[in-house]
Formats: sequence, structure tokens, C-alpha cells
Amino acid sequence: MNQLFDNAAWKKVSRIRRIFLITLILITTVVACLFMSNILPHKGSTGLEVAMVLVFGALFAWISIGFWTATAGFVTLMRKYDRLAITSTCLENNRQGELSGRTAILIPICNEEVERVFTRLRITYQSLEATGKLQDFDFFILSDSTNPDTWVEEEAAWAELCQTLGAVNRIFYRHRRVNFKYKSGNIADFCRRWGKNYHYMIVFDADSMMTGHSLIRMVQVMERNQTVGILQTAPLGVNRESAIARVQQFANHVYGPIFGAGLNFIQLGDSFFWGHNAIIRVAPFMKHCSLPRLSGKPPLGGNILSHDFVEAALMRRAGWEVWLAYDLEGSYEEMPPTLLEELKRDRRWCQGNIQHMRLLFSKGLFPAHRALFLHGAMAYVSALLWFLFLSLSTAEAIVEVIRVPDYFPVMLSLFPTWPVWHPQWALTLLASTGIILFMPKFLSLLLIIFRQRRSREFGGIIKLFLGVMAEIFFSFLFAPIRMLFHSKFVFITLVGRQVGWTSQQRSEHETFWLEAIRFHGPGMVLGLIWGTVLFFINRSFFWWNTPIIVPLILSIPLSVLSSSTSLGKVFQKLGLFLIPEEINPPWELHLLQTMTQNQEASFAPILISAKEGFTRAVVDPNINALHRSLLGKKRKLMPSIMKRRQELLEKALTQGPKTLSPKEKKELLLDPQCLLQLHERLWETLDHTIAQKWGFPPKRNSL
Amino acid sequence: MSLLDSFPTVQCERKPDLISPDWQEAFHRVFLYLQTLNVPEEKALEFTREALRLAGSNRRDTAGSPSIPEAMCALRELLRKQLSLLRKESFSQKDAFLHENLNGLSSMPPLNRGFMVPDAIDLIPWRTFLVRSLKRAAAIVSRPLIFLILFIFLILLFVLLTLWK
Repeated sequence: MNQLFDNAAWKKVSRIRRIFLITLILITTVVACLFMSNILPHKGSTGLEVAMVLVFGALFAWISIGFWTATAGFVTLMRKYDRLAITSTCLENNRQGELSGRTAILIPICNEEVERVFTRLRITYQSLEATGKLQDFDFFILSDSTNPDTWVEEEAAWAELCQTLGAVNRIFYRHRRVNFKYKSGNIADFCRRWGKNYHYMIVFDADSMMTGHSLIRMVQVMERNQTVGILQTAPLGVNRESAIARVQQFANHVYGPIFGAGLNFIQLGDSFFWGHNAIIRVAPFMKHCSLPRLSGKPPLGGNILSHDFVEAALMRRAGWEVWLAYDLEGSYEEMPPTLLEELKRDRRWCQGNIQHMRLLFSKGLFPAHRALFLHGAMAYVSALLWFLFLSLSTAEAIVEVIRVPDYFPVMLSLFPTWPVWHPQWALTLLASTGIILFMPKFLSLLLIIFRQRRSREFGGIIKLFLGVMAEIFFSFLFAPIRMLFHSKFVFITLVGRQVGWTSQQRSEHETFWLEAIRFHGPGMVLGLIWGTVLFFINRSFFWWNTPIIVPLILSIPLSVLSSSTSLGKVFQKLGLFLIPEEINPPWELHLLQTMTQNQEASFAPILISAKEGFTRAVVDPNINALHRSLLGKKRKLMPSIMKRRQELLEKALTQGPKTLSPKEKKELLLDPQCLLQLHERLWETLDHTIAQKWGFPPKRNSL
Repeated sequence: MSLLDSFPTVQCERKPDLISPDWQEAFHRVFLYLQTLNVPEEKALEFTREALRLAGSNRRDTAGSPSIPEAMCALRELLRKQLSLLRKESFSQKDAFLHENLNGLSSMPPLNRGFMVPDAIDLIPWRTFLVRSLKRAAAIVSRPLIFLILFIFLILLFVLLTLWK
């Protein structure tokens, strides 16, 4: 096996490419740092200025990575054929070939919106069925839901899905009572129980959806390349209506391809694993990718949170390749609907990525994966560096105003040394930073218009161009807000405060003003103070910083307005931020939209909402029977537990379901005997007030 | 107009004295239960009547109409007996699915246990890295030739610095 790995041609190429990339980044950064030091009043000779140049250098290197990666992607896509793309090993028309290995599609969920998850699953199932290769796939819904109502809702949805699709023994459902190690623990639990039954597993997120053809292609690529351990696709953002999410999904569609191609250009077989929309070879994953617990307490110790990067590194350490199939279509996900949801997600990611720093020097890891750990951490640390840079430059600006200029720094000099500032140098540096930041966006535009000739898929050349310009404007507005939050996340992680791993709010919803004030209030105050101080002390420096100060001051209305679905719809009407999936949607996405619009089930004759899972499990004889059956074998219980549960049962019967806490509901749901007793006694109750509390219709006085 | 609305009228014409409040409540509860099982109305009425009759016959010793608990007990008894019949008629697909698998329904395939043990990973890499680097440095420095070159270099540096002052 090792010989097979050693012969991979891509390794040589990747080494040359990486050295080339590092050289380019270093040259750009050194030149920019020299410029920067020349702009500063003391030419980088004071301690403050040295610190500024160092921080600036780190930041410039960071944005240069993005620039050169995008440039590499642009060159690759301009050539149209990439011989080192993993998909090129397995041609598109090879769809009819038999698949030799069985594949499990895993959908790990935790307190997600059940209807949305199961609708996506249904469509993926139907899409796979349409390919005629369904018999090679099984679906596993792996639930870590802690909310008792959601648990029952999932079971009911599973039963209904199996029944309507005729998919018993094809779609499976597993609920873990203890969500040990979160998502990675959930996947590991699957591997330990049923992993041996499958060659591959395709991991989904709760908001993932893939077409049947892309699933088949992934398996085919894995079968063709026996050294590949993980194959990651580049999911495209779809289905969003809020303004900010539409901007994000547009950016994802327009700029994503060149960044994807660029990442593949540099990383080749040492690529990322993003934790979803990816296929994994099960046997090596089970053998090498189990995650250890880090010593010490969270946030930097304990369970590894951003498990995907580490799993990719471990897979690679064992000799298996990790590839990014950047050109594989039919892989979708959904963007966070609001800025606040995005920031909540970022807080978790930030903690996970910073935790990776502890693994940076672990023995046996490939340098490329160490670089990826660093890259992941820098995604958030860069914000803190930017914040630091702004603080240092503000300090410098204030000091320069307060301090009396020293015209004769060298004693006994005949001529004074005038403080000279070169605005043209500052403008040159600003322009080059702008080019580094925004050139990838224009390269993407050029690629779509002139090379791929796909501008119609984005509403035409003018709308595409306007969309890109508006996206740049939005980036300008949101960058300082994100910077402030990311800085805070890094800071609180480093000081040892941890974050819970709660589920994401994925459905469309808008940010309320009060919520926005609570989250953005401190940032707005900071912007106001900073702006006022600069305005009165150093007016020219204030004007230079207005692009950062103004968005901070406006962060509350920006957050609320950007979450608005009506604004998103206005953009859509104007033809802004259109994506190909909106103009010509594949049938899977079209079906998803139709089905999500027609939801909200009713449970006549008893009026219980689908969301009230516990009540349904007690009242509805079908759900009660289903739930008890899925609990499996009856367990022997200690008398104290039985007594406690009996008391809970009485409480439920006398006071109704609303008086029970989630923990109490869960305890009752775990006991099939209790649940049956509750069901029977409730249906026999003579007390109509209690019956109504459980959703029974009011008493009828006469027939 | 549902069958439920027409049914009691027919009953009332025949035996109005039987329609006591208890009987009505029991009737409604049993009928509601069958409805939640998605039993078609006609069939549900038939079952309800049968359950109430059974409940009445079970309490021969006491007078009056059967209460809700008695009627529900009778219904459960009846459903147990009639389960095979219900299954055959499969009044709704949903019920057919649930009832068919009521005993031993599992949402998971049979277990095929494997194991997944974490590979050895250095949990304190900083310390290991430092120790490794120091060891390497010590190994290099301990070579006589390198040690000599370093020594000469340090002497030269010292001389240069002294002259500079």
C-alpha cells in the first residue's frame, strides 16, 4: 500500500507549486512592508511603528494567500482542462458502470428543523432512485437531539418517510441518548455499529442536499482512485431569501469556483475536509481517524470541536489522500440566514480552529495539514490582528499630535529634520491592498463572462457586474463588524471561556431590533467613541478610517436590514444576486422549494402541532406505539428511578404536558412502560379539563 | 355531514333511554381514539358500537351505561382480537405500516460491531516539539567540528563587539 502511495505523481507537482506560492507571498509581503514602513512618520524606527509593520506584514501575507490562490484558480479554469483534478480520472459519461462498494449516506442532526431535514432527505432519495443505483446506498439519520419534542417528531417523520417512499430497511434512524463528542462522536458511533457493512460513507450536514448523479460520481471517483481516503465537494449555497444570505450565496457561486480550483492547484491530495458533502472510505477512517481527547480543559483542551480538519490530517498521516472535487456539480448547502446566525456559527468554528493550534506540531502530520491548521486559525486570528493594527495606528496618530516634533534629532546639526508624509505612497499602498483584496472578484467576473460564457445564468452581464459591485459594497460594510466579533471570539477563547455546541437556526427568520441592539450595541459604542476621539484629535486620520468607523456605528440597522427577506426579494426582483439555480433550477431544488412551501401538517381530529412531539407520543396511539417500539428492549430499573418516573407520570396526568420540563419529558419518553401507562390512563380520564390540556377536543354535550 | 352525525339519530329512534351522558362520553372517546388511528368513519362507528356493547356486557352486575375507562378497556381488548382483521383490510397505509411492525419494529439494521480506537497522537505537542528540537540541537552541537566552528565564531563575535566600542 505504501508503494502505491509513494508513486503518486501529484506529490512532486504540489511541492513545486507550494514553494512557488510561498515565494510569491513572501515577495508581495516584503514589498508591502517596506512601503508601509516608509509611509510611517519615523520610517518604522520607533517601537510602535515596528509593531505596526509586523502586524501589517502578517495581515498582508494573509490576504496575499487568498489573492495568489485565486490567481492560480483563474489560470487553471482559463485552461479549461485540469489534468490534476481528481474528477478527471473518472469521466462524466461513465455513469452506467456498476458500483462495487456499498455506500451509507449519513445525516447527523441535533435539534434541527425536522421537516426541512426530512424534505431534503426525501429529495436526495428520489434523485438517487432516478439514477437506478439506489440499491447500492443506505441512508442513516443519526440523531443527537436532546429536545424530547424534536426526538419524537424525528421518529414520526422517519416512519412517514419510510412508508411513503417504501424505504423500510433503506432509510434508518438512530437516536443517541448521550451525544458524546457531538458530531464526530455520532459518526464514530455509526462506524462502530455498522461501518463494516459499507465501503464508503457520504456525510451530510442538516442543510446539505446532493443530487443522485453527484453521489454516484463521488463513489465512482473513489472506486477509480483506490488511494483516496476522503473526497470533498465544494457545496454551493442555495435557497436563501434574506438579503445577507443572498449576497453570500451569490459570492459563493461567482467567486467559489476560482478559489476551489486554486485550492486544488496548491493542495492536490493534501486537501481539506469540511465535515459535510464529502465521501469517506470507511475502513481507513475507522482505523486512523478516531479522535483523541486533548489534555486539559476546554476551550483549548477536551473534545476536538472542529473535527473535520483533524480527521483529514489523520487520514493523510496514515497515507491516504484527501482531495477536493471542486468541479463536481450538484452539491448544495444553505447559508446562515442572518448576520447573527453567521456570527454564532463563527464563534464555534473559531474555538475549534484555535484548538487546532495544539496539534500543530504533532508528530507525523504532513506539512500541508499543519499549514491548514494555521490557515484555519488565521481565519479568525487575522481579525484580532486587524483590530490590533487599527489600535496601534490610532495610538500612533494620537501620539503624533500630542508629541512636540523634534526637528533636531541629531545633536549639533545645522539643518532641521522635517516630518515628511508621502500621501502618494499611502495611496499606492492602499491601491495595492485593494487590488489584492478585490482582484479575485474581477477575475471571477472575467472568467464567467469571457471564458465560461455563463453570464446569462446570473441574469446577464450587466446584472452580474452590478451584483459583484454591490457584493463588494456589502463586504465593505460588514467587514469591520465581522472583524470586531471575530476579535472578541479569539480573545475569549484564548482567555479560556468556552462556547456550547448548540444547533444552528437554519430556517429563514429575521433579526429583531432588540436582539441586534444586544449583540451590536457594544460595537456601536466603540465605533462612536473611536470616531469622536479621532475626529477631535487627528481629523485627517479620522477620514482615512471612516470606512471602518461608519459600519461599526451603523451595525445595528445593518444587521436588522440585512436579515430582511423582503429586502432579499427586492434584490431578486431587481435581478441582483441571482444564481444559476434560481434562473434554471435542477428538479431537485425546484421540488425542495415546492415542498417547503406546502408544509405545516395538521393532526386531525386531535389538534396537536407536529412540534409537540412529547404530547403526540402520549396521545397519538400510532406515535405512542412507534416510539415504544423504537425504544427497544425493556430495561430493568432501580426502584428509586421507577418511583421518580411514577411521580412524573402523575404530574403529567394531573397538570398536563406544559408543566413538564424537557428533562422530565425525556425521562418519561425513555420508559416504554410509563409511556404506555400514560397513554392508556389519559384516554380513560374523565376529567375533561385535563384531556383538553393534552389537545383533546372540548366536551360535546349531546350527540 | 359525517356518519357520526347520522349515527346517533338512528340509535335514538330505537333506544332513546340508552343515550345517557356517560354513554355519550364513552362513545365520543372511543370514536376519537379510532379516528386518531385513521380508521375510516364507517369502520370506526362499527368498532365503537362493538366496544360499547362489549363494555356493557362486561359489567352485567351493575346497572347503567359503561364509563369511559370501561369503554376504552373494551376497545383495547377488541383491537387486540381484531388486529389481524384490521391488518388485512389495511384501512390506511399509515396504520398498516405501524401495526404490521408494532412488535419488534426497529429503525436500525442489525449490529455488525467494529472498533475505532484513537491513533496515538501527541497530546502535548509543544513540549515534545521543544524537547525534540533541543535534542537535535544538542546532537548537532556535540559534534567536535561543529563545536569548534561555533566556538571560533563566538570568539570572533566577541572580539568584533569589543573593537566596535
